[in-house]
Amino acid sequence: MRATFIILFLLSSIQFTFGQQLQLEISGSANFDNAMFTVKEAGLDFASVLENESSVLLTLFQSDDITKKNNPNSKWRIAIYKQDDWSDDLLLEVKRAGSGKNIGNNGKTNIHGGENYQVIRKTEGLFFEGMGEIRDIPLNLKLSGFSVTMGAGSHNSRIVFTVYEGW
Amino acid sequence: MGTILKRLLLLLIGVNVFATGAKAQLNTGGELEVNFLIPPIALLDIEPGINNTIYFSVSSAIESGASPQIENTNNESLWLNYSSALEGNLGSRIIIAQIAGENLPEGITLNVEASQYSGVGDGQFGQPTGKVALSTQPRTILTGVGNCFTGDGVGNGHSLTFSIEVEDYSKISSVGESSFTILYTISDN
Repeated sequence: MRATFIILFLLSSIQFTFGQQLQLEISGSANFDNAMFTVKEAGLDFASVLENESSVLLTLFQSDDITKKNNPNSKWRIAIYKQDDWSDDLLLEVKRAGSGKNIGNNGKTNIHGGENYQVIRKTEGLFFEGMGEIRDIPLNLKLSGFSVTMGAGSHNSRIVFTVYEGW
Repeated sequence: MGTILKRLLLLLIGVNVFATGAKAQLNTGGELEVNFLIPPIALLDIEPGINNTIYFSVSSAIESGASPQIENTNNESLWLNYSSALEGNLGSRIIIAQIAGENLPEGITLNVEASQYSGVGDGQFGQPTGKVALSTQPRTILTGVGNCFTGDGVGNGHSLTFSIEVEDYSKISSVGESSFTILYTISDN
């Protein structure tokens, strides 16, 4: 009988632990304006770096109301990678340009890491970590390594963000 | 009692299996598209740019029966700089030169020759076509200009060498001072 209760307790605990449903939303645009790609004088290449102080905002929230109530300060971490066929010379970097705002209270957000530009690679890497629900975390993107030697044309990439539980 | 507990246990196991199965979807993500467009680039200039004038003097022969003396009276070295980014379906560009406005005095030929590329640039540079006689019609001085930048200023790109030849002595007459402008254009092939 005691063993049965222990099993019940453990299973319930496991359910509460795994019952979190962290969701991540990205809003805004990360396009680098065509007008940024100018050559100052004949014989020169493009300026070597373009920064997009963009309106890209990241929001992290619990989609499950019960979990939100039971575990409002769950820890999480965000990892990123990119999908494209760019050459290795062309670098896309990202940084967290702010700390966002707590959802549901006006306190200081618990968020750390990702404040310096880091190269987004095709393999997943840690971006930053935090706790609880945070909205409107601003992100900046930086592009470098492009050149007139690449020729004219469009270049596209997809950055994939994944949120994991825990630090 | 035991049966109820067993049922409860089974129910909880079922719920937990569902919860654990759903865990694969708990950690959700988002995607962000990043786009940029490199526009076509075709820019060209002549350096040093402050004074790109070349002077020639054609003076009378030193001795009877000898040909007139032609001298380049300044040694200013002119360099052709360019930046080029082509759209994918275009193979290469050419650079042409032509005399704009007033034509050459009769009997005189003005030649220009672009050197092989040198400098700090990168990419697919143009290939010189050799010594070209200029006229009011466009003449190609470089072919095969791809995606490249030559570097800026004197010492980058292609140096330009000018020469004057007397083509037909019977047509030469004293014209005083005559000046011409040479126009360079980078053009899709």
